[in-house]
Amino acid sequence: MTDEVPQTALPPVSLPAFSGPLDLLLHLIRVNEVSITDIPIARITEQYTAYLDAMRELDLDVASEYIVMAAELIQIKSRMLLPRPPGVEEADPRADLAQRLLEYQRFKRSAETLHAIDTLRGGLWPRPETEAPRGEGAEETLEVSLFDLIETFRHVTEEYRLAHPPALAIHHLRFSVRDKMQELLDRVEAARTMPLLEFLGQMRYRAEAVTAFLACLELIRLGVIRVFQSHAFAEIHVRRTELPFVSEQIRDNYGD
Amino acid sequence: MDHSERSGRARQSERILPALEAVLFSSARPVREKELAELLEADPADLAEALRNLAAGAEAPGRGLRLERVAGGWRLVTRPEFDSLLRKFHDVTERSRLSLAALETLAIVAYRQPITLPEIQEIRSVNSASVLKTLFEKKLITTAGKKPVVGTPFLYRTTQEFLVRFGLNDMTELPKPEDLDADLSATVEAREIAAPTAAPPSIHVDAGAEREPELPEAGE
Repeated sequence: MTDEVPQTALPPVSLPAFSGPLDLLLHLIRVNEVSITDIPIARITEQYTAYLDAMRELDLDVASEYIVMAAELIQIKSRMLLPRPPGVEEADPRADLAQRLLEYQRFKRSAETLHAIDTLRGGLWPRPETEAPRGEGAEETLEVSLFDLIETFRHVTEEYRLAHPPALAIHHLRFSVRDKMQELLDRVEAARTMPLLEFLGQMRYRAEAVTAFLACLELIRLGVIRVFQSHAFAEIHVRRTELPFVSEQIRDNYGD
Repeated sequence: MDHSERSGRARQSERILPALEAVLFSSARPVREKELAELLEADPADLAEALRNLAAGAEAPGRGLRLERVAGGWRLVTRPEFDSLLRKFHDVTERSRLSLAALETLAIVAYRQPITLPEIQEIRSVNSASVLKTLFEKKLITTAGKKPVVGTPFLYRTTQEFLVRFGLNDMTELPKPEDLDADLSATVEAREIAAPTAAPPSIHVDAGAEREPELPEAGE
């Protein structure tokens, strides 16, 4: 049991749940059988930090408050190590911490009392809250707090928001065979020959690629371009034919 | 008080007792004596007599209910020895528990109310916002205005629900901190007192595992 920990031993492996750094400190004070008002600060600090290390080793998140307390303990320890000028009465550096521990312990003990009462009273069953049968239109008075009102308002606005979603504008991505014909023509006229897959691969959308492919087929049908490949499954190349063709013809003949 | 007056009171009390029982049976919340007296059109003294008789009847052996005085009113609850039976009947294995942190915070609010969150955190040396929220949601605490200091933080106090949950008729019945204080300075003694219950920090671990079979006459 933890109570049998020798004074210099490291803390036991099992870590009870502490509700905070003061709770851990009280635990150490108890197992060391020392007084709150006369804490052997070096020993307690060492054990306290060892606990934090153990918590880290177990991958437990060490809350920042525990680290703040460790810093405070180390500070008190260092203040106690400082030589005091002879004849000068100086306040015990531990006094403030002892005061806080005493106060905290008082509430901790109250909490234990409340826990005991709660456990005992948990076995008493009152009539559950039920609504008395009421006629239509009977208004019930409720006891509500400001926070109930805020919560209700938040709930209502949230309901409203869900029931009335903002108008969602869907930008329809439209590609036209006409545009793609023009694009393909421009590219192929600039480069003389062009790999078809590379051209199609530059399309960002599936629909765009399909449109571009249709544009390619259309230009082939018109005899404006020719496609060829060196052997089966090789890259398909596009080449401009000698057929005279101007962009206006595309614009005039292919609507949206 | 002469003989006829006493027998008159007994008669009146006998008259209102069944109605009183019916009202309390039907109510989930504790009902105040004043409200009962008005409802039953009874003299307060007659009502008190009827309540006494009802309580005595309920306390008699062979009954399943008891009458308790809580949060300034009266209500009927089941007797503690039927807890396991009722849990079986209602298929309740675990009941909601308050964590150690929640109980600590609740104790601080109870003894120091009205109190702000920063003041609570000062005492606990730990962030207590989420714990406070839990207590708030369980309606054990509520706000009590704002403190006129920088930032005007909310003040918190305990509620009627707190009194009901912990079986207190009013806040004066809260155990005095001094009563718990007796052995404060002598920690070695404190350790010896705490020792039989093993590690006190793990107070929440026994949630519902073991409960005292019999309730001492608490809260009455």
